[in-house]
Amino acid sequence: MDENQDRLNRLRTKDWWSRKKEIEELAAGHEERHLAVLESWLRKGEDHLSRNIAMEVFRALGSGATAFLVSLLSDSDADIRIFAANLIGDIGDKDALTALIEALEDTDVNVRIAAIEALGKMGDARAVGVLARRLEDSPWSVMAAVDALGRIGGDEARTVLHRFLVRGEYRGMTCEALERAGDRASVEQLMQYVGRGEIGGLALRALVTIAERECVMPSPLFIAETLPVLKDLVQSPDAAVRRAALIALSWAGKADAAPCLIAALGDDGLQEHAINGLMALGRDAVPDIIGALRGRGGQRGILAKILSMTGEVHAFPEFAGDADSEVRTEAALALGTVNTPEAKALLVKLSADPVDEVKAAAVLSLQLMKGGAGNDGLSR
Amino acid sequence: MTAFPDKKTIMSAEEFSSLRDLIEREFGILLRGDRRLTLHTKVSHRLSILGLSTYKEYYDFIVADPTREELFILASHITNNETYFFRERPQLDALAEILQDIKREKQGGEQRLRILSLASSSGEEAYSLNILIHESGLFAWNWDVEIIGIDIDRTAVSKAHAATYTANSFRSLNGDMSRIQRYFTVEDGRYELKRAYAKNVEFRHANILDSGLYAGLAPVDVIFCRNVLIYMSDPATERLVSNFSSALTETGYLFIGSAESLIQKTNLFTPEYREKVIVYRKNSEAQADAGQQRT
Repeated sequence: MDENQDRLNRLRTKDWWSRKKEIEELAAGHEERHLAVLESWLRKGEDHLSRNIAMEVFRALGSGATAFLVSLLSDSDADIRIFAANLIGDIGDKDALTALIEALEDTDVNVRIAAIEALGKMGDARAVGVLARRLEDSPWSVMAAVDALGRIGGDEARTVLHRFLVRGEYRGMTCEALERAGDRASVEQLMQYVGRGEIGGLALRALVTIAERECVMPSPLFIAETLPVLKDLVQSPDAAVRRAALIALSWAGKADAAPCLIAALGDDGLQEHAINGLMALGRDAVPDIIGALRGRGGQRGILAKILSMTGEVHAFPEFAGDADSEVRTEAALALGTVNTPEAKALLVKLSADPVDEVKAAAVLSLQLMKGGAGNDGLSR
Repeated sequence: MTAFPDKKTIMSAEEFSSLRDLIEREFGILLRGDRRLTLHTKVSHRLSILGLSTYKEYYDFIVADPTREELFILASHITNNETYFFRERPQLDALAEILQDIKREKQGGEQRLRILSLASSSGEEAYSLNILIHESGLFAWNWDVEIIGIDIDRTAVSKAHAATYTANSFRSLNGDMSRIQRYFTVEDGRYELKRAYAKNVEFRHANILDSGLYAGLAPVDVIFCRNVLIYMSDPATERLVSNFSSALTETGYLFIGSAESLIQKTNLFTPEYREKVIVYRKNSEAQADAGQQRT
């Protein structure tokens, strides 16, 4: 067996790490004589391992394989044309743009779809016009074209997508494309579809993603009007929709959003937005925060901190004996601003707390009380 | 509505970056995105206690502290201490099977079982493991069984030593009082672990990213490090996994959270599919290769 064949055969190991190393070494050497063997592996329809390895190697070869793959776009076997289009898209070499545009006229619909997807992955705005014309093709081609336009982005693609929002059957897909490519103008376009049927959640998700990216916020009137919808969507089975609804609720400034915001404190990905929403509510959130602290839920330290920041320090005697040391610490700091015998007695008790931090906060507050220099409870 | 200071006045972007980078550098924990409000609500009381006015002053205080105590306090406030007894039951069932394998493998050899519970928080996981080992009855005679919990939070470690809990720590047991009463003394809503089930469990205050920590612990049979990697940067995950590999016995096991994966992230461990769960097994050959490359 010659050395080259031996090298190619080593690629067939089932160990992912070894194969990765072999592929990297082969790609670094880039010898054209291997291409024909890899092509033959692509043709092994039942041998998935060979086919997958060939695809991995072509990807690793990058633009060095483009010309060869472009030639495969004219192959008599539609499967090979599909693989070639996929690989060209993955490699993203713009020298293949014209060849991919020509492949949009392929007689096989799956080749056309693969070419559309490849143009999306390539991300070249010169393809927007031809992709817009595909919006009248078969349904799968239309969906691929919408997705591709979202990946390419830019003014021209956005304009096409905004107009295409009227097509109800593809609206969910269009919302997803705009989530990727949208700008401030897209927020306006998407607002009208939030809460409308099944795709309302997708429209909201796209709107919130764009608003966060572009640092804009929909009008307070819009958020107020959609509040019932947002409260529904915050229960969505789709985590991304739940996240979007919670973020929109954090913008709402409405007290009845507080329970949803408090519940979201336990979600690491939503915590910042939930705190932001509760802080924006200020004293309006106090009854719900106190209710949550009276319960056994989590994130008690954060709730106590927000309560303190609202200036509602007179609520703290109730929580000076909380099981959570972070709540007791916050209580100790807040009680320092309440010059009452009850507060002082609680602080004396907290100054003997087994947790050092609680003890330190209580001692500090007692000193402040003694010096008569209480803080306002807001600076923390 | 009360007007609050916005996040920019609470903590500048530069102050946040300094603290975020410090946390990642020292503990491998990533604070993704702009988390200024989260950080503020978790650590602002430290500024009050220390008499500091800004987060710039707080950062300077931490880096100037030769004891590193404040650094650990900062980390303790940003980590999640959420835990409870018998969390993720299918993983514990898998451990019960693995214990039998370990017993078989060690037949005739050293009768020693050592398990690490990393990011052990207030100790619920470590004690659950000890109860599980006790219930298996496999290591009852002449076995040296040791479970070591390690956490960055000194307060959590103290709580773990105290081994006294509230009902919240038993939420996965759905009120199974018979099991609770077997191991705990229940009084006034407090659940105190009976001393017999705590005596071979110890807790240490340390940074799990510190490779020196593991030198004194090896060889370890099983490591539990659940719901930690999701908060870690990729380089920190690599360091951690390398530490685990060094600490484990040649056939050691690693449990990570069910939402976490090491597949295609490292060759130091091989996934092993057990009913409903994935357990990672040390890949000794890869460990040897890595050792050779280092030398």
